[in-house]
Amino acid sequence: MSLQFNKSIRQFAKLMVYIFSGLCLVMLAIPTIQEGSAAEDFIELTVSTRCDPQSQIVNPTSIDIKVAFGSSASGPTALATMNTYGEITSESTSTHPYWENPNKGWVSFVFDGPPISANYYCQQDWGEKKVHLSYEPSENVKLYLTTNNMPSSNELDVSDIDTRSTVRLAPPGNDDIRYSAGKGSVNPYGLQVAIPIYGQGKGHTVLQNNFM
Amino acid sequence: MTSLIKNTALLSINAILVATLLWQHDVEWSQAWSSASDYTLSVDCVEPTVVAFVPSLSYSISSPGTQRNYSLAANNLVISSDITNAINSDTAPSISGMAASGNHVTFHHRGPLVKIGGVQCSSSTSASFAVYGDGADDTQFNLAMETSGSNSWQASNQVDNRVAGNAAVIFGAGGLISSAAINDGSDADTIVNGEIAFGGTQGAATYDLFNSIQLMGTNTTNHSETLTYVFTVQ
Repeated sequence: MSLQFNKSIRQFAKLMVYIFSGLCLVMLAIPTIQEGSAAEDFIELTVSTRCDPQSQIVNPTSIDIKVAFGSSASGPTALATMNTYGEITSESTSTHPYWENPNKGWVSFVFDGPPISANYYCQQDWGEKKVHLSYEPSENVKLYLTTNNMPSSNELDVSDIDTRSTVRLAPPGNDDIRYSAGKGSVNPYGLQVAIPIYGQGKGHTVLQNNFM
Repeated sequence: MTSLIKNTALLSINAILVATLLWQHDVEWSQAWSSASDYTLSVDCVEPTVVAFVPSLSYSISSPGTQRNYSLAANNLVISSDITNAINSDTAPSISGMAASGNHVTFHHRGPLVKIGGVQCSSSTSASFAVYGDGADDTQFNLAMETSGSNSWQASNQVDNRVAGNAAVIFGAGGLISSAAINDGSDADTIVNGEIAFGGTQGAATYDLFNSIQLMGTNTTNHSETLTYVFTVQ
């Protein structure tokens, strides 16, 4: 009885192996059968979406500042005009009380920071954005960031045109993509420019906006 | 069996391609968060016009006595000063050192604040200062400039009898006060501001203005002298 049962088991197992092997052969053979027996053809149209996070920066290509000095019986005066986008965008006067800031022999002008913006595409994080301002070392120009109309001691980094003093970027309204700062935006800032009084009248530097 | 090997190989190639794409995707992600943009900033200074500022001084001298020939003793006189067009909020100087000298009475006070402005944007940080009179010397009213703190009238330091071309150098080489020029930053306002101020009560560059006035009669008399201040930017 027991011998008979073991034989049945072996026969059943052998049958299962045959069935499995047969199925495998059929599955392997299907592509060949399909390729060889196509009765119709079709065009497969595939649309793939690829959205790489990226930012598009918009800022002035150049800023020109013209300083006109004068004197009165009560003290020295100066008027500076900032020219961006081909037109005067900001004016600043400097009079005696702040003449020494930030250093003796230098005179400072505080301007409305020029508008800068960035369009952020395909980003998952809609949190606060920032831009780091820095500038190249210059003998006749020093730059500072301010949050009001007073001279600041927050000088931009000059050791390397890469990082430091930060301006917040705020989205105007409910715009999830476009962030901006500076004059006319929801997040204005002040750009303080200092020049030496006996600076021979010329100064030049390169600013860099580094969006984070 | 050949198809099995072929499919396995294709599957492996696909896996490698997917891994490569994912790695590239990570690189682009980090690049997207550090984009930067450069722009230039230029400053141009318009050369200002050099200009000098000096005040006007006046004195009022009276005697409380009523006698015709009153004494020239200083304590018999009342002298006050007034200043107009004051520089940097300077105030009228206090009179001191009243004394009789022959038929003149002498007194002195700190020299008023004067300045030269509009030297920003240049390489000049100093100036010299010279003085001469108007060519019509009023001998009854004489003026001299001397070192601050001097106590007596020195006729050799008289300036109102000088003429153009023979100006008395006050500050500058061979000057009455100092051989040094007046330097911005060490001048009266002590600030590097493109203005060179001196006189008044501040800073090292101060001087005294001495007056010698001849008093005659009881009638009210007026005397005036005009001094021309010459600043030379160095």
